Amino acid sequence: MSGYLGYDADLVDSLRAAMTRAEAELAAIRCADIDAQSAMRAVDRARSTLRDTWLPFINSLYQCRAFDGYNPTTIDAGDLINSWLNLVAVQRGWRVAADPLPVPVGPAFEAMTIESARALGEALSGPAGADDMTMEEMAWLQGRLAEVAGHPQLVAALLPAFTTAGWANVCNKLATTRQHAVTEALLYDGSISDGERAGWAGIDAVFVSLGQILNTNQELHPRSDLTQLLIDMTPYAAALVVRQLDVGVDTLVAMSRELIDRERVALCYAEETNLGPRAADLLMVKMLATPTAATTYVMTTVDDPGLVLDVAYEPGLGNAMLAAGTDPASMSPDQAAQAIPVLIDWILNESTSSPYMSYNPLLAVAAVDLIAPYLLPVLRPDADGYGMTSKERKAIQNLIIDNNAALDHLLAARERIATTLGTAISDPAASFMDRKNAVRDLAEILAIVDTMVRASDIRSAERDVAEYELAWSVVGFAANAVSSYIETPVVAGAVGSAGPALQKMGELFGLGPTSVADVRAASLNRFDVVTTVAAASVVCATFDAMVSAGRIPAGTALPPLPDLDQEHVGVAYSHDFNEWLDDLDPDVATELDGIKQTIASDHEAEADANGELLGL
Amino acid sequence: MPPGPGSPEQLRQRSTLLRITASKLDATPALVLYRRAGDDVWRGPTPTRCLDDLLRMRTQLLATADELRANARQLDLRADQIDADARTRAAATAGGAG
Repeated sequence: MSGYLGYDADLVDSLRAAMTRAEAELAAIRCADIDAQSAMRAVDRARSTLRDTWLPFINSLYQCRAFDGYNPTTIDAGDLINSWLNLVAVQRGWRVAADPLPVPVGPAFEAMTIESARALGEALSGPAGADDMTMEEMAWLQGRLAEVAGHPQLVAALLPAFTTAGWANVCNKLATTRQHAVTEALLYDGSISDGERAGWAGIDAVFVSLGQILNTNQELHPRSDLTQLLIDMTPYAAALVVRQLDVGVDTLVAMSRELIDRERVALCYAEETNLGPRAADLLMVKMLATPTAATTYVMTTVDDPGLVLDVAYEPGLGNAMLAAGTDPASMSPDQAAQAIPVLIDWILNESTSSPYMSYNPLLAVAAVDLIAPYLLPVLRPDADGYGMTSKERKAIQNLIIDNNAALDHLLAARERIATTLGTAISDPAASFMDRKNAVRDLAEILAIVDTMVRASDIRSAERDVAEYELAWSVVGFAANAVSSYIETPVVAGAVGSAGPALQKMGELFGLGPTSVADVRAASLNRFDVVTTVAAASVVCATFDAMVSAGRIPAGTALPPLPDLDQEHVGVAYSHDFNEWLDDLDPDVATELDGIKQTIASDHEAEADANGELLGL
Repeated sequence: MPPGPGSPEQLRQRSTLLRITASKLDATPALVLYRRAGDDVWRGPTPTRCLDDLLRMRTQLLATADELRANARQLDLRADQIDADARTRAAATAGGAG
C-alpha cells in the first residue's frame, strides 16, 4: 500500500448516497419476533457499519474540502523548495494535497525546526541540490541557511543529513555559476559594477551561511575534519567555503596551498581555460587579510614559488602576497635567509619568459618590494649576505634598472629601507660599534641605490642618444633617397644635405639629447651630494644621541649642514665639519669623525663595487 | 377469539412475518453497496477496508435472511405437528366414542 488515497469525486459521492439509502432501508426493517432477534442484531451491525464508520469517513472527505480542489498529490522532487517540503511532510507523517488557492508572491514559511533543518540537509543532498537554482530558490535557501546558521541545534540537525556528496554538489553548482558570472563581467569591460556584483550576492550569502554552519559545528566538535568536505569540491568552490571559515593560520595556509596546487594542475587539462578569477584569487585575498598568513604561505611554498606568483588570475594579488609575505614585520631573519634567495632566483628565471612577463608585467616592481627590505643581504657579497652570486646580483639590479616603474618604486621605498637601520643609528644606548655598523649599512644601501639610479640615468641617456642618432640617420637616408630622383644637381645636393644640417641646427638650439658624458658627470656630482647629505644626516643623528646620553653638553654648537649651492658640496662640508670638530671634546670628536668617515668611505667603496658590477 | 400463544395459527403468523423480513433483507440495497465501492471509485488502504466491510455485511445479511427462513420453517413444522397431533387426538376420541 502506498498510503495514498485516490478517488473519483463523483463516484464517491454516489457511494455516499447509496450508503445513506441502504442505511435508511435497513432501519426500516423491523421484526419483534423472538426468532428474529439474532437477525435484528445482524441488521443493527450492518447499519452501524454504514452509519458509524463509512458515512462519517466519506463525509469527512467533504469536510476537509477534498472535493473542492484539495486533492491529494505528490511533490515534484526536482525543485529544491518542494523537495524540502515533501521531506518535511514525510517526516511529520503528513498527507499532501494540492492547494487550489493562488501561491503568494515569495515563499513564506514557518520558522525552521529540528525536523525541517534535517529535511533541508536531505533535500540539499538529493538531486535538487545538484540542479541549477532559480533566483527564488536561491533567496529561499539563503534565508533558510541563515536561520540554521544562527542556531546550534539546527546546525546539529542539518549536518548529519547533509552528505559530503551533497556539499560538493551544492557548492560546485553555485561556485560554477559565480565563476562564470564574474568572468563574464570582467570580460565585458574589465571591471565589476555594483549591479554585476549583485548578480552573485545571493551565492555569496549562501556561502557565508555555510561557513557559519561549519564554524558553529567546529566549535561544538573541534576534532571534526573540515578538509573532508573539500575533497570532492572544485578548487573554486572549496575556496568559497574556506574563505568563510574561522580556522587558524596554519590550517588556512595548508588548505590554500592544497587547493591552489590542485587548481593549477587541473587547469592543464581544463576544457575551459578562459575562466576569470580562480581559487587562488579568493584565497590570496583571504590570506592577505589574515595577519601572518601571507608569510606562512610564502614559507610553505618556498619549494615552488610559482604557487605565489603564477596562479592568480589577477597577478597583482600574487605580487601583493610576495610583498606582504616577505615583509620583515612578519618574516623572521632566518625565514628571509631561506626564502629570499629562492624567490629572487625564481623571479630572475621568469623575467626571461615572454609569456610570464606578458601575464605579470609588474614583476620588476614586485622584485623591488621583495628586495627593498633586504638590499644589503641580497646585494652585498659578504658573510652577512644571502650568498647570491655576482651574476644574480647583477641580474636582479638590471631587472629593476631597466624598468622605470620599478626604479621609482625602489626610490619610493626609501623610508621602508631606512626604517630598518635608522633605529640603531639614533639609539642613545647603542654602542659606538653598533652605531658605526648601522652607519656602514646605511652608507652601503645609499650607495647601492645611488649606483642603480646612476646606471639607469646613463642607460637612459645612451638610449636617448641612440634614438636621436637613429632618427636623424633615417631622415638623412630619406633625404638622400629623395635627392637621387631629382635631376638638377644643385637642388639634389641641397636636399641631400638637409638632414645633417637640420640636426646640427637642432643641437645648436638645445634640441638634442644630453650627452652620455654629461649625464655621467652630473650623476657623479649628485653622487657626491648624496654622500655628503647622508654623512651629515648620520652625524646629526649621532650628535642628538650623544646629547641625550650626556656625552655632549647641552648648548653645544649644532653640527654643520651641507650647502647644496656649492659647486663641490662634499669638499665644502668637510671643511665646515672639521672646523666644528675642533670645539668638541677630543674623544667625542674622534668618534663623530669616525662615523662621518665611515659613511663617506663605505658609501664610496660600495658605490665603486656596485658600479663595477653594473658596468659603470 | 384470537389464537393462543403456541397455537398453529400463531406459529404460522410468526412464520409468515419471518419470511417477510427475510424477503426485505434479500431486497435491501445494502447487499449491493459493494458494487459502488470498487477500484473504479476509489483506491487505497481505506477503500480496500471499506470494500471488505461491505462484502462482509452482504454475507451476514444474506445469512441472516436464510436464518429467518429456517426459523420460519421450524415454526411451520411445529404448527403442522400441532395440527397433526390434534387430528390424531380427534380421531382417537371419535373412535372411542363410537
